[in-house]
Amino acid sequence: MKSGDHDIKWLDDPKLGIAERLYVPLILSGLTTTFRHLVNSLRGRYVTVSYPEEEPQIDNPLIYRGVHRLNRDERGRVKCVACFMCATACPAHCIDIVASESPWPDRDKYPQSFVIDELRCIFCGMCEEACPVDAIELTSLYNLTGRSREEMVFDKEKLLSVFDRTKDQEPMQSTQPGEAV
Amino acid sequence: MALLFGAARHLDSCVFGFAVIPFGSVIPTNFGVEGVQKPIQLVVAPGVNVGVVYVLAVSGIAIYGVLLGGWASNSKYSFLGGLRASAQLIAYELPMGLAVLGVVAASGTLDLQAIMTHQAADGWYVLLQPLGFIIFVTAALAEAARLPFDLPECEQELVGGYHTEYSGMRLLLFLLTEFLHLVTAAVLIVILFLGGWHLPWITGWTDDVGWLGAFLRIFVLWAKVLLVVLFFMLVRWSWPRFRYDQLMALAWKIMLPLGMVNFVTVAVLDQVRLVWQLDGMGWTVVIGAVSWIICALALVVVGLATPRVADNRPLRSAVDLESHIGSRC
Repeated sequence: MKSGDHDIKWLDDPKLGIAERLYVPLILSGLTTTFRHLVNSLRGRYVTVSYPEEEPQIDNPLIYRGVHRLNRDERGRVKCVACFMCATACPAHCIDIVASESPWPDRDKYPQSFVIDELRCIFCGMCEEACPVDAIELTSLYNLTGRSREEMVFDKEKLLSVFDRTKDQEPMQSTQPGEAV
Repeated sequence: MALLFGAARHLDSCVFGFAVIPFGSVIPTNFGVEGVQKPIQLVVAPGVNVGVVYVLAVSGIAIYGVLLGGWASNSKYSFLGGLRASAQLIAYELPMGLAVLGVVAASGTLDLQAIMTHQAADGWYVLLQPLGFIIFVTAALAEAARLPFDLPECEQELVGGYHTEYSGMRLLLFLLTEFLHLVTAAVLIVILFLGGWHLPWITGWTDDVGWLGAFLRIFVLWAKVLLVVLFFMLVRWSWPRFRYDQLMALAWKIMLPLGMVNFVTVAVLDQVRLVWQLDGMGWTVVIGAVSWIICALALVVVGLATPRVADNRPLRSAVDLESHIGSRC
């Protein structure tokens, strides 16, 4: 390992200013923050979200990592080309793809079955990053529940239906293959 | 057996301290006991005139509890946790001792009850020795292993520290001790620096009290203790934890010199007062102001002397050197 190596990015800590080095101002500002929250909670402005009575606000649905969906292209077909990149990238090994020859001329393969075990998934978003055609995406649906384990294993139809449910609120991040936002 | 022994040592280091800690001032002389002419002190072991030394000595036992507890677990991680914890406790005992020394020098007594009476008459030591107060509070936080210094069992980073292998009632002994340490520390802060049972214009300042005054003093003392505990709780949710090297650097490179500065300041100012007979309220205010200025100056000097970055990674030059040597071997 050389420090001049281009693969190594050296990040230096920000220099401490006089307030940081004197300890006391920062200590006081930390206490002020806590005290402000204390006073706010006494005045009825709570930080705590009373889920499920109250729905949490998701700041940016496009970067939230919730339930997966399989995107459809403009003709309504599954966008996936069964390249196995997501299944390879998945650290939890929760994606199971069976590929077969594509009935359409624009690609060689398509997923005959595409199964994600949502109980095994750790919602890291690496499948989304690995996908070369932006077919798999994580939505902002966070309240995933089920009555059995089998129910939580999502097949292709279910993943496509998640897309149908969420496509209006969360537009696809790209419409062309390989064109990521 | 050894497991229980470690946990029990840890607990009684805390409980023993309460033997000499007053939980109020005195109850009136006319209490009704035949032949008792002195006011009766509200303390388990009254008249222990080495109270401060006793409390420090007993809280020193806590180190044995932690060390034995970790060692007895027969697990290398618990043992390392115990070593870490005892190193921290030993490191912070010194600045704590120095801060207490300032109080003892100013009041001229080791009796906790007398220290409170002295403050009631002369002014709280938090106003007269601000530096000592800051050092004592910091060291007390570290001794009680509260959050900015809770490295013995930082729950987000370690599984458990020295009490990883414990469960049930023995774990309870450790956890109980932790909270008891918090209360002991708060009581000591209140007694040594925040005037104990004294509240200006309300509780009076001599041993001459009626029943109302006696109960009022108990109430004032424990109200102060609860406020200090509340402060400790707020601290817990406010400040991030130190890294271990920062913890040690703070104890040995910052708190210890500051403790020296505090003690010398107190001793010199005390001597100045004694030699030039500077009695009276006005001079107390002047002395207090001088110590506040010295406190501010000491903190500024310490702040300017600390390194500009909080980074402990190897230097780039060291990495280059290492790879250079490595490639030649």
